[in-house]
Amino acid sequence: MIEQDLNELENKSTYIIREGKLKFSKVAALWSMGKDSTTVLQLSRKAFMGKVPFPVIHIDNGIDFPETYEFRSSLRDEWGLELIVAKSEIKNELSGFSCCGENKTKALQGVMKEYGFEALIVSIRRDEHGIRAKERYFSPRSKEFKWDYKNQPLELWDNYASRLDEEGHYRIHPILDWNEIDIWRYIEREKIPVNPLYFSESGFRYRSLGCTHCTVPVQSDASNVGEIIAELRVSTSEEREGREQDKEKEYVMQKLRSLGYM
Amino acid sequence: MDTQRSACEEAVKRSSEMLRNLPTEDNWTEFERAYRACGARYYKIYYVTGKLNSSQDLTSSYVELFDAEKKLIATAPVFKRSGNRVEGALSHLAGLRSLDLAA
Repeated sequence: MIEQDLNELENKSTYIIREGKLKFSKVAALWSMGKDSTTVLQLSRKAFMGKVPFPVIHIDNGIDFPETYEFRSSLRDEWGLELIVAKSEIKNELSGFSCCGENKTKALQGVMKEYGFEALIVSIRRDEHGIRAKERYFSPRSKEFKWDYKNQPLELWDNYASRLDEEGHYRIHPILDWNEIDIWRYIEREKIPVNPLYFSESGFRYRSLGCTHCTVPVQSDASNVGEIIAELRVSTSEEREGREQDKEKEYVMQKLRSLGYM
Repeated sequence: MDTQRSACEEAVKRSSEMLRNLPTEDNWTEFERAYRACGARYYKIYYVTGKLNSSQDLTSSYVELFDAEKKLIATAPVFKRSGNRVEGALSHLAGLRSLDLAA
Protein backbone atom coordinates (compact mmCIF):
# COMPACT_ATOMS: atom_id res chain seq x y z
CA MET A 1 0.00 0.00 0.00
CA ILE A 2 1.47 3.34 -1.07
CA GLU A 3 2.01 5.86 1.74
CA GLN A 4 1.44 9.37 0.46
CA ASP A 5 2.68 12.68 1.82
CA LEU A 6 0.29 13.58 4.65
CA ASN A 7 0.92 17.32 4.41
CA GLU A 8 0.00 17.32 0.72
CA LEU A 9 -3.10 15.26 1.37
CA GLU A 10 -4.14 17.51 4.26
CA ASN A 11 -3.57 20.67 2.24
CA LYS A 12 -5.67 19.47 -0.65
CA SER A 13 -8.47 18.18 1.58
CA THR A 14 -8.72 21.35 3.66
CA TYR A 15 -8.78 23.35 0.43
CA ILE A 16 -11.70 21.27 -0.85
CA ILE A 17 -13.60 21.65 2.43
CA ARG A 18 -13.08 25.41 2.46
CA GLU A 19 -14.16 25.64 -1.20
CA GLY A 20 -17.32 23.74 -0.35
CA LYS A 21 -18.12 26.05 2.56
CA LEU A 22 -17.48 29.06 0.33
CA LYS A 23 -19.53 27.94 -2.66
CA PHE A 24 -22.59 26.66 -0.83
CA SER A 25 -24.46 28.51 1.88
CA LYS A 26 -25.93 25.38 3.45
CA VAL A 27 -23.45 22.54 3.91
CA ALA A 28 -23.45 19.51 6.17
CA ALA A 29 -21.16 16.53 6.62
CA LEU A 30 -22.20 12.90 6.85
CA TRP A 31 -20.73 11.20 9.89
CA SER A 32 -20.86 7.45 10.45
CA MET A 33 -18.43 7.53 13.39
CA GLY A 34 -15.99 5.54 11.26
CA LYS A 35 -12.33 6.40 10.83
CA ASP A 36 -12.80 8.16 7.48
CA SER A 37 -15.67 10.47 8.39
CA THR A 38 -14.06 11.27 11.75
CA THR A 39 -10.85 12.12 9.89
CA VAL A 40 -12.84 14.47 7.65
CA LEU A 41 -14.22 16.20 10.75
CA GLN A 42 -10.67 16.67 11.99
CA LEU A 43 -9.70 18.10 8.59
CA SER A 44 -12.68 20.46 8.90
CA ARG A 45 -11.38 21.59 12.30
CA LYS A 46 -8.00 22.19 10.69
CA ALA A 47 -9.64 24.18 7.91
CA PHE A 48 -11.69 26.35 10.28
CA MET A 49 -9.52 27.04 13.33
CA GLY A 50 -10.54 24.18 15.55
CA LYS A 51 -14.27 24.09 14.90
CA VAL A 52 -16.53 22.11 12.58
CA PRO A 53 -18.58 25.00 11.17
CA PHE A 54 -21.47 22.97 9.81
CA PRO A 55 -23.86 20.32 11.10
CA VAL A 56 -22.91 16.65 10.99
CA ILE A 57 -25.55 14.11 10.02
CA HIS A 58 -25.74 10.56 11.27
CA ILE A 59 -28.14 8.38 9.27
CA ASP A 60 -29.22 6.02 11.97
CA ASN A 61 -31.03 2.74 11.26
CA GLY A 62 -30.95 1.97 14.97
CA ILE A 63 -28.72 -1.09 14.69
CA ASP A 64 -25.28 0.44 14.73
CA PHE A 65 -22.90 -0.95 17.32
CA PRO A 66 -23.48 0.25 20.90
CA GLU A 67 -19.81 1.27 20.91
CA THR A 68 -20.57 3.49 17.91
CA TYR A 69 -23.40 5.24 19.74
CA GLU A 70 -21.13 5.75 22.76
CA PHE A 71 -18.40 7.17 20.52
CA ARG A 72 -20.94 9.47 18.83
CA SER A 73 -21.95 11.00 22.15
CA SER A 74 -18.44 11.44 23.49
CA LEU A 75 -16.97 13.04 20.35
CA ARG A 76 -20.03 15.24 19.87
CA ASP A 77 -19.42 16.63 23.34
CA GLU A 78 -15.64 16.82 23.04
CA TRP A 79 -15.64 18.63 19.68
CA GLY A 80 -18.86 20.60 20.18
CA LEU A 81 -20.47 19.09 17.09
CA GLU A 82 -23.90 20.14 15.88
CA LEU A 83 -25.31 16.65 15.43
CA ILE A 84 -28.43 15.83 13.41
CA VAL A 85 -29.65 12.24 13.71
CA ALA A 86 -31.74 11.18 10.71
CA LYS A 87 -33.55 8.00 11.67
CA SER A 88 -34.15 5.41 8.98
CA GLU A 89 -36.77 2.77 9.30
CA ILE A 90 -36.22 -0.85 8.31
CA LYS A 91 -39.05 -1.66 5.97
CA ASN A 92 -39.89 -4.38 3.53
CA GLU A 93 -37.45 -5.37 0.86
CA LEU A 94 -37.65 -3.49 -2.38
CA SER A 95 -34.21 -3.55 -3.89
CA GLY A 96 -32.40 -6.17 -1.88
CA PHE A 97 -30.59 -3.40 -0.07
CA SER A 98 -33.52 -1.97 1.79
CA CYS A 99 -31.68 -1.74 5.07
CA CYS A 100 -28.64 0.21 3.90
CA GLY A 101 -29.88 1.50 0.57
CA GLU A 102 -33.43 2.63 0.05
CA ASN A 103 -34.29 3.28 3.67
CA LYS A 104 -31.13 5.24 4.47
CA THR A 105 -31.46 7.24 1.25
CA LYS A 106 -35.04 8.11 2.20
CA ALA A 107 -33.88 9.27 5.62
CA LEU A 108 -31.19 11.42 4.04
CA GLN A 109 -33.65 12.90 1.56
CA GLY A 110 -35.89 13.82 4.46
CA VAL A 111 -33.19 15.65 6.37
CA MET A 112 -31.90 17.40 3.24
CA LYS A 113 -35.38 18.71 2.54
CA GLU A 114 -36.03 19.72 6.15
CA TYR A 115 -32.80 21.70 6.49
CA GLY A 116 -32.36 22.78 2.85
CA PHE A 117 -28.78 21.56 2.54
CA GLU A 118 -27.19 22.30 -0.84
CA ALA A 119 -24.05 20.24 -0.34
CA LEU A 120 -22.99 17.21 1.64
CA ILE A 121 -19.43 16.43 2.64
CA VAL A 122 -19.01 12.67 2.25
CA SER A 123 -15.97 10.67 3.29
CA ILE A 124 -15.52 8.20 0.47
CA ARG A 125 -12.16 7.22 -0.97
CA ARG A 126 -11.37 6.02 -4.46
CA ASP A 127 -9.41 3.01 -3.24
CA GLU A 128 -12.38 1.57 -1.32
CA HIS A 129 -14.40 0.34 -4.26
CA GLY A 130 -14.30 0.52 -8.04
CA ILE A 131 -17.53 2.50 -8.13
CA ARG A 132 -16.18 5.20 -5.85
CA ALA A 133 -13.13 5.55 -8.07
CA LYS A 134 -15.40 7.25 -10.62
CA GLU A 135 -16.40 10.06 -8.30
CA ARG A 136 -15.41 13.71 -8.57
CA TYR A 137 -14.36 16.00 -5.70
CA PHE A 138 -17.57 18.00 -6.30
CA SER A 139 -20.13 15.59 -7.61
CA PRO A 140 -23.64 16.78 -8.58
CA ARG A 141 -26.78 14.87 -7.68
CA SER A 142 -30.23 15.38 -9.18
CA LYS A 143 -33.34 16.27 -7.23
CA GLU A 144 -34.04 12.52 -7.06
CA PHE A 145 -30.54 11.97 -5.68
CA LYS A 146 -29.47 10.33 -8.94
CA TRP A 147 -25.84 10.32 -10.02
CA ASP A 148 -25.12 10.62 -13.74
CA TYR A 149 -21.74 8.89 -13.65
CA LYS A 150 -21.47 8.98 -17.46
CA ASN A 151 -21.78 12.76 -17.60
CA GLN A 152 -19.64 14.21 -14.81
CA PRO A 153 -18.20 17.73 -14.67
CA LEU A 154 -14.56 18.38 -15.49
CA GLU A 155 -12.28 19.24 -12.61
CA LEU A 156 -9.31 21.10 -14.03
CA TRP A 157 -6.67 23.04 -12.08
CA ASP A 158 -8.57 22.84 -8.77
CA ASN A 159 -11.69 24.42 -10.25
CA TYR A 160 -14.76 22.61 -9.05
CA ALA A 161 -18.28 22.68 -10.43
CA SER A 162 -20.86 24.15 -8.11
CA ARG A 163 -23.87 25.24 -10.12
CA LEU A 164 -27.03 23.77 -8.70
CA ASP A 165 -29.78 22.71 -11.09
CA GLU A 166 -33.36 21.80 -10.34
CA GLU A 167 -33.12 21.52 -6.57
CA GLY A 168 -30.31 19.00 -6.72
CA HIS A 169 -27.32 19.02 -4.43
CA TYR A 170 -23.59 18.41 -4.49
CA ARG A 171 -21.54 15.74 -2.81
CA ILE A 172 -18.14 17.02 -1.73
CA HIS A 173 -15.46 14.36 -1.40
CA PRO A 174 -12.38 15.77 0.35
CA ILE A 175 -10.50 12.48 0.89
CA LEU A 176 -10.95 10.82 -2.51
CA ASP A 177 -7.19 10.53 -2.96
CA TRP A 178 -6.42 9.10 0.45
CA ASN A 179 -5.93 5.40 0.96
CA GLU A 180 -6.53 3.30 4.04
CA ILE A 181 -3.01 3.50 5.43
CA ASP A 182 -2.91 7.29 4.91
CA ILE A 183 -6.02 7.59 7.08
CA TRP A 184 -4.44 5.62 9.91
CA ARG A 185 -1.13 7.46 9.62
CA TYR A 186 -3.03 10.74 9.85
CA ILE A 187 -5.02 9.48 12.82
CA GLU A 188 -1.73 8.61 14.51
CA ARG A 189 -0.15 11.95 13.69
CA GLU A 190 -3.14 14.06 14.73
CA LYS A 191 -4.14 11.80 17.66
CA ILE A 192 -7.70 11.63 16.35
CA PRO A 193 -10.09 9.69 18.62
CA VAL A 194 -11.47 6.59 16.91
CA ASN A 195 -14.16 4.03 17.56
CA PRO A 196 -12.73 1.31 19.84
CA LEU A 197 -14.16 -1.40 17.55
CA TYR A 198 -11.15 -0.90 15.28
CA PHE A 199 -8.87 -2.33 17.96
CA SER A 200 -8.44 -5.98 18.83
CA GLU A 201 -8.70 -7.38 22.35
CA SER A 202 -9.25 -11.03 21.58
CA GLY A 203 -7.85 -11.74 18.13
CA PHE A 204 -10.61 -9.99 16.16
CA ARG A 205 -11.36 -6.40 15.24
CA TYR A 206 -13.36 -4.44 12.69
CA ARG A 207 -11.33 -3.15 9.78
CA SER A 208 -14.31 -1.38 8.22
CA LEU A 209 -17.39 -0.38 10.21
CA GLY A 210 -21.00 -0.68 9.20
CA CYS A 211 -23.96 -1.74 11.30
CA THR A 212 -24.22 -4.79 13.55
CA HIS A 213 -26.07 -6.83 10.97
CA CYS A 214 -23.86 -6.46 7.92
CA THR A 215 -20.36 -6.15 9.34
CA VAL A 216 -18.16 -9.00 10.47
CA PRO A 217 -14.84 -8.70 12.29
CA VAL A 218 -11.54 -9.82 10.77
CA GLN A 219 -8.79 -11.80 12.43
CA SER A 220 -6.20 -9.42 13.78
CA ASP A 221 -4.13 -8.76 16.88
CA ALA A 222 -3.70 -5.04 16.18
CA SER A 223 -4.71 -3.35 19.44
CA ASN A 224 -3.65 0.24 18.71
CA VAL A 225 -3.10 2.60 15.81
CA GLY A 226 0.61 1.80 15.44
CA GLU A 227 -0.10 -1.91 15.22
CA ILE A 228 -2.85 -1.33 12.66
CA ILE A 229 -0.41 0.61 10.47
CA ALA A 230 2.20 -2.14 10.79
CA GLU A 231 -0.43 -4.72 9.88
CA LEU A 232 -1.60 -2.78 6.82
CA ARG A 233 1.96 -2.53 5.53
CA VAL A 234 1.99 -6.29 5.01
CA SER A 235 -1.71 -6.98 4.43
CA THR A 236 -2.93 -8.44 1.14
CA SER A 237 -6.64 -8.48 2.00
CA GLU A 238 -9.30 -5.95 1.05
CA GLU A 239 -10.37 -3.29 3.56
CA ARG A 240 -14.09 -3.93 3.10
CA GLU A 241 -14.00 -7.75 3.08
CA GLY A 242 -16.13 -7.72 6.23
CA ARG A 243 -18.94 -5.67 4.66
CA GLU A 244 -21.86 -7.68 3.26
CA GLN A 245 -23.16 -4.95 0.96
CA ASP A 246 -19.92 -4.94 -1.03
CA LYS A 247 -20.22 -8.60 -1.95
CA GLU A 248 -22.81 -7.90 -4.58
CA LYS A 249 -21.72 -7.57 -8.19
CA GLU A 250 -20.05 -4.30 -9.13
CA TYR A 251 -22.71 -3.66 -11.75
CA VAL A 252 -25.42 -3.84 -9.08
CA MET A 253 -23.51 -1.47 -6.80
CA GLN A 254 -23.04 1.02 -9.62
CA LYS A 255 -26.71 0.89 -10.49
CA LEU A 256 -27.75 1.48 -6.91
CA ARG A 257 -25.31 4.36 -6.55
CA SER A 258 -26.60 5.98 -9.72
CA LEU A 259 -30.11 5.76 -8.31
CA GLY A 260 -29.07 7.66 -5.23
CA TYR A 261 -27.89 5.01 -2.82
CA MET A 262 -24.86 6.35 -0.99
CA MET B 1 -25.00 -7.32 48.98
CA ASP B 2 -26.81 -10.53 47.95
CA THR B 3 -30.12 -8.84 48.71
CA GLN B 4 -29.18 -5.83 46.63
CA ARG B 5 -28.02 -8.04 43.78
CA SER B 6 -31.17 -10.15 43.71
CA ALA B 7 -33.29 -6.96 43.86
CA CYS B 8 -31.52 -5.52 40.86
CA GLU B 9 -31.71 -8.83 38.98
CA GLU B 10 -35.45 -8.86 39.68
CA ALA B 11 -35.76 -5.33 38.34
CA VAL B 12 -33.88 -6.28 35.16
CA LYS B 13 -35.99 -9.39 34.70
CA ARG B 14 -39.22 -7.45 35.18
CA SER B 15 -38.26 -4.62 32.85
CA SER B 16 -36.96 -6.97 30.14
CA GLU B 17 -40.26 -8.88 30.22
CA MET B 18 -42.17 -5.64 29.83
CA LEU B 19 -39.86 -4.69 26.99
CA ARG B 20 -40.34 -7.98 25.16
CA ASN B 21 -44.11 -7.58 25.45
CA LEU B 22 -44.16 -3.91 24.50
CA PRO B 23 -40.91 -2.47 23.08
CA THR B 24 -41.74 1.21 23.41
CA GLU B 25 -39.34 4.06 24.08
CA ASP B 26 -40.52 4.31 27.70
CA ASN B 27 -39.97 0.61 28.34
CA TRP B 28 -36.53 0.80 26.76
CA THR B 29 -35.66 3.71 29.07
CA GLU B 30 -36.81 1.69 32.08
CA PHE B 31 -34.86 -1.40 30.95
CA GLU B 32 -31.77 0.72 30.36
CA ARG B 33 -31.98 2.14 33.88
CA ALA B 34 -32.35 -1.35 35.33
CA TYR B 35 -29.52 -3.07 33.47
CA ARG B 36 -27.07 -0.22 34.14
CA ALA B 37 -27.88 -0.37 37.86
CA CYS B 38 -27.25 -4.11 37.72
CA GLY B 39 -23.76 -3.78 36.24
CA ALA B 40 -24.30 -5.00 32.67
CA ARG B 41 -21.03 -4.87 30.75
CA TYR B 42 -21.35 -6.91 27.52
CA TYR B 43 -23.87 -7.61 24.79
CA LYS B 44 -24.30 -10.28 22.13
CA ILE B 45 -26.75 -9.86 19.28
CA TYR B 46 -28.52 -12.67 17.47
CA TYR B 47 -29.96 -11.89 14.04
CA VAL B 48 -32.17 -14.83 13.25
CA THR B 49 -32.22 -14.43 9.49
CA GLY B 50 -29.42 -14.02 6.98
CA LYS B 51 -30.79 -10.88 5.37
CA LEU B 52 -32.31 -7.86 7.07
CA ASN B 53 -34.92 -7.11 4.46
CA SER B 54 -38.00 -6.46 6.47
CA SER B 55 -39.13 -5.27 9.85
CA GLN B 56 -40.05 -8.86 10.62
CA ASP B 57 -36.41 -9.87 10.37
CA LEU B 58 -35.66 -7.23 12.98
CA THR B 59 -38.49 -8.11 15.32
CA SER B 60 -37.39 -11.77 15.32
CA SER B 61 -33.87 -10.91 16.48
CA TYR B 62 -32.68 -10.36 20.06
CA VAL B 63 -29.78 -9.33 22.24
CA GLU B 64 -28.32 -10.86 25.41
CA LEU B 65 -26.70 -8.78 28.14
CA PHE B 66 -23.94 -10.03 30.44
CA ASP B 67 -22.25 -8.73 33.55
CA ALA B 68 -18.51 -8.30 34.15
CA GLU B 69 -18.18 -12.02 34.93
CA LYS B 70 -19.90 -12.73 31.59
CA LYS B 71 -22.96 -14.11 33.33
CA LEU B 72 -26.22 -13.67 31.40
CA ILE B 73 -28.47 -11.12 33.08
CA ALA B 74 -31.12 -10.25 30.48
CA THR B 75 -32.50 -10.87 27.03
CA ALA B 76 -34.12 -8.07 25.05
CA PRO B 77 -35.41 -7.28 21.57
CA VAL B 78 -33.28 -5.16 19.24
CA PHE B 79 -36.08 -2.90 18.09
CA LYS B 80 -38.67 -0.48 19.35
CA ARG B 81 -42.06 0.54 18.09
CA SER B 82 -43.20 4.07 17.66
CA GLY B 83 -46.71 4.12 16.25
CA ASN B 84 -46.45 2.15 13.02
CA ARG B 85 -42.70 2.54 12.78
CA VAL B 86 -40.24 -0.18 13.67
CA GLU B 87 -36.76 1.10 14.47
CA GLY B 88 -33.56 -0.42 15.72
CA ALA B 89 -32.98 0.29 19.41
CA LEU B 90 -29.30 -0.46 19.93
CA SER B 91 -28.54 3.13 20.94
CA HIS B 92 -30.03 2.11 24.29
CA LEU B 93 -27.05 -0.19 24.78
CA ALA B 94 -24.45 2.57 24.39
CA GLY B 95 -21.61 1.96 26.82
CA LEU B 96 -21.75 -1.84 26.61
CA ARG B 97 -19.07 -3.80 24.80
CA SER B 98 -19.39 -6.69 22.39
CA LEU B 99 -18.93 -10.05 24.11
CA ASP B 100 -17.49 -11.46 20.88
CA LEU B 101 -14.58 -9.04 20.94
CA ALA B 102 -13.94 -9.03 24.66
CA ALA B 103 -10.67 -10.37 26.00
